[in-house]
Amino acid sequence: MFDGLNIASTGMVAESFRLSVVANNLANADTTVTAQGGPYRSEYVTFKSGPASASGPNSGVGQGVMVSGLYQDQSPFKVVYDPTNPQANAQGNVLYPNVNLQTQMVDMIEASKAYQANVSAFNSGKSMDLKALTIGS
Amino acid sequence: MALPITPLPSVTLGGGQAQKASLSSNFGSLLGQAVQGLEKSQTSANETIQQAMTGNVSVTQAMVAMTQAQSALDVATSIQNQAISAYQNIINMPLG
Repeated sequence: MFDGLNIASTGMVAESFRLSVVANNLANADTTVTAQGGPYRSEYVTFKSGPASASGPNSGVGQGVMVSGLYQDQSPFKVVYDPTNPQANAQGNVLYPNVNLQTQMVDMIEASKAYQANVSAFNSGKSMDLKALTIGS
Repeated sequence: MALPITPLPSVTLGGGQAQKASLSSNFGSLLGQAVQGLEKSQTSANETIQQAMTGNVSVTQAMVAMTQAQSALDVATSIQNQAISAYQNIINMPLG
């Protein structure tokens, strides 16, 4: 019944997932040990569009967005010379995560603004639905 | 020269009654579907709130489910008000 609301909510869910990934990247910006071994690798999400509905008043309109994957950034790690660090290798270098703070901040702002846009679309859809109830009265 | 007179077919109320019956059943099933949808959205909102409280779904999904349940209730209330107003129009009709 509420296609517009459902579509906007998929956007909100996807953007909050993206924000969680950014938060995890920022939290692990200095993590040198992970369960997989080696320092933390920066992660990013990719989205894909939902399938269009085949019937109903909105047939042909795509049904929102979904998360298609969570990938690790394969760019090289930061190398810091710190021989006193217990994680240092034979050359006295410590590998730090490849989390780029600038990229993460921009991603965070993007996710936040995109979430707000989806909330606006949701509220517009809801007020249109409520307005429809006043037709004829 | 007399024109051949053919009697008119007798008037039956069958057609009218059948139409009325199908109309009322359509309206009834429509209302039934609306009520079922309402119940479903309320149940789903309740479940989503419970899951949000236990941390299984996000606050976003809980708010969306609550808003949808509220909108479904608004739609149902609006339909019910219209139906009752139509009924009152008919029941207050002066007869005789």
